[in-house]
Amino acid sequence: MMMTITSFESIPYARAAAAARACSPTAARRVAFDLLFREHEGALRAFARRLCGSQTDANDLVQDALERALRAFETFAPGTNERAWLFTILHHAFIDRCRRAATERRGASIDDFELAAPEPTAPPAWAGISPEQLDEAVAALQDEFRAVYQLHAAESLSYQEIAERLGIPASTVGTRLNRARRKLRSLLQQAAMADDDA
Amino acid sequence: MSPRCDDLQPFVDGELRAEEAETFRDHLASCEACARALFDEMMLAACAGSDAERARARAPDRE
Repeated sequence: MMMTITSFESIPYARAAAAARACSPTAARRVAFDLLFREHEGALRAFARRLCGSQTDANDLVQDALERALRAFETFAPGTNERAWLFTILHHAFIDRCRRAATERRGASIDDFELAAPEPTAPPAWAGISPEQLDEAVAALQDEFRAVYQLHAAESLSYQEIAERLGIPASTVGTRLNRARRKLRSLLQQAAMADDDA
Repeated sequence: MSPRCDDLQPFVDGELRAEEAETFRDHLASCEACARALFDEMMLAACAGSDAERARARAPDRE
């Protein structure tokens, strides 16, 4: 029996994947991309909103990132952290957007805003760490840094809300958050290097 | 490193006022260090975000 697909939103992942296998390689790739993008779309839109400050600009940025990701999907390596890959593309699109806006404001050449070194094109090795390794790294933070980091990452509280919850100045929240993230990146990098050596 | 570079984290966290955020976006256009630091922040957010969602998916709904 022929299955007609009208909307991927209305069918479960497994059926969509099965339908994709029955299609041409190009169509299957497009379906795989749509599924991947849809899974992370909410996170991309939320972060784009923080970067852009307005919903309209955020929508434009995500659309730009979506088109770039679709073009680059053939080079996507299985096993890569999908969200980190999409966030890498979102970063490139956002920096380009900032440069275009600066160029328009100043009437300057886009060459004035080229970076001296090439931008990273792939997520760092530590972006492929497992959830367990991330849990371990968070657990290894000192108590005062872990508390601030978790309130911000898990509950999305503002600096002021965290300050009130913990009874510390808001400026201290920013400092502790910064140090917690630096330490986390360092721990994740060590974990990724240990994996490579194993 | 300019004074503007100190605004990276509050920018990422949505703690800057609208005009301050706009100024920082302008700064990002030409500051390689901040563009790279933003990349690091986004990678951590990507890892932590997906992990938080997995944790929520694992946790039973207590409502």
